Amino acid sequence: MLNMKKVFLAFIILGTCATVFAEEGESIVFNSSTGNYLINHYSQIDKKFEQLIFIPTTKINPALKTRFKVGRGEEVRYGYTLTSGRDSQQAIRLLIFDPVSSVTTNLPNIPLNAPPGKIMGDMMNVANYFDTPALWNARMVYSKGQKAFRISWGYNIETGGLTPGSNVVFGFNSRDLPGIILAAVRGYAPDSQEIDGEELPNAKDGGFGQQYTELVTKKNFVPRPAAVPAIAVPSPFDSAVLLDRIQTQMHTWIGMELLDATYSSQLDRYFAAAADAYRHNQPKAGKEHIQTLRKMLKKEHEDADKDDEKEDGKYEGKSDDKSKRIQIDRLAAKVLDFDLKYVLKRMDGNDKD
Amino acid sequence: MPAYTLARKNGSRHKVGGIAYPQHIAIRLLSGFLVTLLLCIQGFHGTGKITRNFFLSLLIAFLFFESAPVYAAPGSIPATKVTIYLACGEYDPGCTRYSVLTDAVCSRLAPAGYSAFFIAQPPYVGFGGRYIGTCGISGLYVYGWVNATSGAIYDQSGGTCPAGYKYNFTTGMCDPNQLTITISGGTTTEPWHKKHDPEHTQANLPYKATVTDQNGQPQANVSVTITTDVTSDSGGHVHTNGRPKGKLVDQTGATVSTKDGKMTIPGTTDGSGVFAFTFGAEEASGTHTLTATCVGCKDPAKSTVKAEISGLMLLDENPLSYELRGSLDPHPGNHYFSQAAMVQIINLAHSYRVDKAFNKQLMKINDSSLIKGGTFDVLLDWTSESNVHGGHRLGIVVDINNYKTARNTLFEEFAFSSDIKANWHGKGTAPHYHLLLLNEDH
Repeated sequence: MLNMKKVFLAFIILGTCATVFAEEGESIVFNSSTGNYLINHYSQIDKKFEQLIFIPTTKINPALKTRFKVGRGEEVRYGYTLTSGRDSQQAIRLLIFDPVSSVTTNLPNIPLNAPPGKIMGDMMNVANYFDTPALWNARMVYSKGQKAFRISWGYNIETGGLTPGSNVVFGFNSRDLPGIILAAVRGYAPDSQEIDGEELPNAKDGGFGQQYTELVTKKNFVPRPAAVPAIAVPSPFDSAVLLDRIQTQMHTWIGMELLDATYSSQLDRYFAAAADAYRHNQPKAGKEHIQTLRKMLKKEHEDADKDDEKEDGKYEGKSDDKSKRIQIDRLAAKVLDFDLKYVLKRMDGNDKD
Repeated sequence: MPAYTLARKNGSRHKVGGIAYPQHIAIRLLSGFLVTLLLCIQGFHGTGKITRNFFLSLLIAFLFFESAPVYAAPGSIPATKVTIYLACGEYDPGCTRYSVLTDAVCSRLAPAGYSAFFIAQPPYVGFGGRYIGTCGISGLYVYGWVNATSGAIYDQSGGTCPAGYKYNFTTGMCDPNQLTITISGGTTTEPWHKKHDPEHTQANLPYKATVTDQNGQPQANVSVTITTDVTSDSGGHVHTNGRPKGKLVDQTGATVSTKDGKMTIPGTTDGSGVFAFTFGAEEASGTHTLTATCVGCKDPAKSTVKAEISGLMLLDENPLSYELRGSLDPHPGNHYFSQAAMVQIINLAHSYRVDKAFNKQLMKINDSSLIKGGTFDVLLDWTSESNVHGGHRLGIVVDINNYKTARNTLFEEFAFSSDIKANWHGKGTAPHYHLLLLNEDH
């Protein structure tokens, strides 16, 4: 009788296990102790569930320091120091800027939206002019839609990369003024496992497929704000148009949480007033409104108008005054001040009213 | 020569055989006329008075006329009851001019079992060439009305023939309705994506098969059959045998799904003469033909539906910049891309050629999509580890054969630098990279 009970119990346990297994289905579970993801996936090839350990290329703590200053002529010199935090668990192998509006070299400018493939060699030649450290490879391609560029530096050896605590410097020139984008930084995870050999699950299923696609395909990088060429200077120069473009770029920072929406509205008033003044040929009034804007920025960040020589390389999202609510990110304030200062410089000597 | 049912007008007796129907109607009428004329002349005896023989002659003529054989259409059956609503009138003695008579006269002149009265119902106008009776005998001429536009005979006989039959004034029989079936619905759908839509709720097209009679009236309760087929060598596949032909389901269920549909389904038209059904595309692209037939329909109706991804473009050969490979007899065109993916692959291949990391190699570009997209695996038997070939349906992924043994970090990062995800397909006998040109796998 006891044996019968054991057999009966065994059936119940087995049945329960099978049910749980079937109900669980495909899943992604984050392991907080390792930072990896356990992917439980039904293989269409093997006709059974398989477990994969996905190691994201995000086990890094990169700091991206951006410098920008007017160089020769009207060119802006962009420099970047990429530092791998000492707490990074992976080497850094890739830094990507997308979109970048233009770059300038001694070679002819690369046109936007050229026929596919025709000028990839030219792009590669242009990339050769970038400041690129040894063992790294600069690349330049079109951003999707071919209305901007995608610039990257990749570690050029199969293994290794920028080790924790070390840094590298990249750079290039552009005639366009800086805006801010989220750069992508990737670490090195050669042992990561992904679904192999079959079509990936539906990226729009709202469940496993979507989670998998987001994790493995679309967000397997660490974002960092970076100042890159984003605002074309109108030719012939038109300060009102340029102010409009700067303002449009500024609005994109709200979504990146670099700018408070209310504070942005306050800035908008002076942007509109300055542009209106320039449109009505009142450069002095325009200049005053721009100076007001710059004062507002300086009030938030004392060093907004200074050339940035800090080398801490930390995420630049904090205000100087820790107790104060952040209205605008420090990098954003510096970029905006730089762009406004550029307008003033170009208008210098044109004061009439 | 087809056989016709030979029957008396009242359908009391009939036999099979004889000669063609239209000619014999004329012969019947002509012979009746001649016999009647002969008897009438004899009945007058040249006296100019109507004698008893005259009425006798009329009776004989009438019986002869009534007994004359007529030929019915194939499949005709006897009518059980006839109520004829017709018009009546008379010709002048020269049989050149027809005059419509009044209701009273028509009623009086109507033969036994007939009720005659005037009909003037638009859009039926004028008198047509169908008549029962002969000019010059009794002055009774009965005409059917003819639609001036379509030529259809106006027919008010009702309740006399079973469903699917129509009373024939000439033969007195119930002829099978001359039904017409038409088929209508969509003409294009994307191929089914089973992995993303296992219940097959998409890539379905609603269709209607509609049955009407010769007057364009919808016919209810008519049995129909729908069949689907696929054109060989369509959709970029050169396969002749065993291709799935598409799936059909009727729409009686609350949920439309063709997951378990069949290639042939029966059905019955509803009160509007419609049988509704759904065509479901297969995973492979192709041109399908839907055929609808019905009991009583002369000809089947056909409709063509294409399961395809439109707008795919062929990647041109460019042996200096990349290498195209993988074209096989069953799939002669295997390098089709969507417009956005085309830009991505061309830029990527050219970049690969000049990138320092790859030593001026050519990118080896294998399968992307067929000319009309859909799965390569048309027979759905590529399930083994060695030849599974998922995706490649929308022209947005492509296989690269430069790396055949193991993953290559540099290549994966190179692809990522161009906003392309490189998925390693290492299982099976032909490991390769499967590039998601738009970062999605389809």
